[in-house]
Amino acid sequence: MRTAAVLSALRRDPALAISAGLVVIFVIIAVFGPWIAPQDPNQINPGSNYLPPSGDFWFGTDRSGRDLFSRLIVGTRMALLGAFAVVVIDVGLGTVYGLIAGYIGGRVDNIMMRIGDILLSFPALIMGVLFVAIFGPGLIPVVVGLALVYMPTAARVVRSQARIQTKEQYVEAGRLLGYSPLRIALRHVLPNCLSQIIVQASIVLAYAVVDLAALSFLGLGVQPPTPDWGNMLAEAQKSMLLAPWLAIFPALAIIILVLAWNVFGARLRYHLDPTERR
Amino acid sequence: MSAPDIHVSVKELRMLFPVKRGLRDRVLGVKQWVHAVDGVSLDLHRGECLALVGESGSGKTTLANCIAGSLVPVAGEIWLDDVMLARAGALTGPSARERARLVQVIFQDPTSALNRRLRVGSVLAEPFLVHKICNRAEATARVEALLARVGLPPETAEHYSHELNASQRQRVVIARALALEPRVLIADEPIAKLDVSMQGQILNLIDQLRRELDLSVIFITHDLSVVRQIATRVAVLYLGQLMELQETEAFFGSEGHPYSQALLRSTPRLRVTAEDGELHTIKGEIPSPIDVPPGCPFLSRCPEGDDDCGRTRPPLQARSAGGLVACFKRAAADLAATDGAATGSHG
Ligand SMILES: Nc1ncnc2c1ncn2[C@@H]1O[C@H](COP(=O)(O)OP(=O)(O)O)[C@@H](O)[C@H]1O
Ligand code: SF4
Ligand SMILES: [Mg+2]
Repeated sequence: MRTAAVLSALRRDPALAISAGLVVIFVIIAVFGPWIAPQDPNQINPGSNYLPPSGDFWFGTDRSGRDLFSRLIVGTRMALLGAFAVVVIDVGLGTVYGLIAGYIGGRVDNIMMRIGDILLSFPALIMGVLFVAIFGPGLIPVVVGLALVYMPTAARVVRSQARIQTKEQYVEAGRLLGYSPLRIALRHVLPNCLSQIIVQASIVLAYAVVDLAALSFLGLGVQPPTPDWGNMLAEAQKSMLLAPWLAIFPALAIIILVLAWNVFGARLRYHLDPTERR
Repeated sequence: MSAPDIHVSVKELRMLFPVKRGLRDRVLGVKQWVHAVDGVSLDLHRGECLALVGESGSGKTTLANCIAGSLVPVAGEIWLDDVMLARAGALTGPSARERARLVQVIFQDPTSALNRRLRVGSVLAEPFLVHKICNRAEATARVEALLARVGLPPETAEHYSHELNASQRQRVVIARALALEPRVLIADEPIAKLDVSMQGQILNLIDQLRRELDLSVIFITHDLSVVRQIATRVAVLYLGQLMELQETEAFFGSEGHPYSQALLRSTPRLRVTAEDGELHTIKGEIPSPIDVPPGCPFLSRCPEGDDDCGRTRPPLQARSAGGLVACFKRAAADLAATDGAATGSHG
């Protein structure tokens, strides 16, 4: 029954089908990258450096003659893993935070939102840099740092929707029927915030892909030689004119992933909200 | 006539809301209050339908919310049989869960009153599950029984509320309110958001349920034409104060409170028109509920009022023909009539 609904939505909505297809492909590449990649991404091929795209090296080779295609494929894992981790932490914390503030309201809400504003005043990249300064470079500190700066935005989105929902009479009806505040918040208010949460998650995932790449580009995130789109771009920068493909393909990968995800998020929201359909 | 069986008793109830203040008031420390319910006393008889009428903003919903336990009154008491439900500054007596089985509310807007993410079946099963009345399997049968009670087919359980029309939604809201078998039902303008064609059905349903289940009903409306169909008695609120409390027949028949008469003249469907055959809107402005005038609240719009009416608040007094009215002129007229009758019998 559920599967049938999903299949019919996919058939009727090409934008959903294409974006979902792309997202699935990216996920498959992320999971099975090392087996898909035609070559070892760290295999140095002396004498084959800076080769343009060809039958042997589909996306060309880099300074050390490593196969760019294989490096991109394997790098997908870091891009998605990092971004998903940011989204899970960010949206998880933000939802709990926003739901509490929005459902309780009043002074608690005020104080919680002001604290959020303070966190929000840190630019994302600065927070990433700060966490790297404290915990050293690597994916985990960068992910946590980004999740924390994004969190107040997610919290604010959930909070304002929770506020709107709490004023609906079904919440008062629940109180009058003797339902506990926890039940009302989780079973009634939260599901009505779901489409906002999904939209927020899709937006944050896109930002996270870009910001994580930027931090790797700055040498703070994923460390070479582990292939990652950000650190590949950083390297490409040194040979932009000589070997532009080194920048073009990682950039395309980032753009396609972000676009596909954004469309997927928008269509998903449309289909998940039963009242938005007709 | 036997003494009425009092089910709910509201005593000197007051409910104030703080006014949203501007910067100036904050700096000066001025605190102002909306007098939403301003010293209301009334009884709800067991098994009756008491209509609560008055223009928008007269405090009907606030009074209802106090009785339901959604609001904590600032002063006064609310009793249900011999249990005190609320007093100044506190809900008393039963816990929220116990209260849920005593008083329930039917809301004005059934769309807002239903969680659009849940199927009707889940909405109606939830009270049973939360109150551990039965398990999930047994709840299905109970949900069907509830749906039947409000005239909906069992398949309704499979639908989301947005797939139903407004009348069906309101039936679901009514069914949910009945799930815990409450004794008192408060219907807050339950037909105001429905098409005229559907209003009659819902009115009849509430009336039928009251009889079958022996419910005591408070029916809030600003439309007097429905009062005659459903109410046994009528309570008229104005600016948070009770103006008149009367049997329905007498309310439409006798010379009641000047405000009631103005309301009657302004209700098109009643065709109760003045001598000139015109439909009259009530002239004048409603005073602000923040600065409530010291005397009769209706003075600014009352065709019969004079300076004396503005000095003290007219007390709610029993009329010789039955019912209660808060008006100096009506009290004086009653007094003159009884005096006249008394002298007449002597002479
Ligand atoms: N939560 C509230 N906060 C402030 N003022 C309120 C609130 N609820 C009601 N009021 C005010 O109290 C008065 C009575 O409102 P209400 O009980 O809703 O009247 P009615 O139901 O008869 O239209 C109005 O002046 C309204 O503005
Ligand atoms: S007391 Fe006076 S002002 Fe008030 S309703 Fe009676 S006549 Fe009118
Ligand atoms: Mg109201």
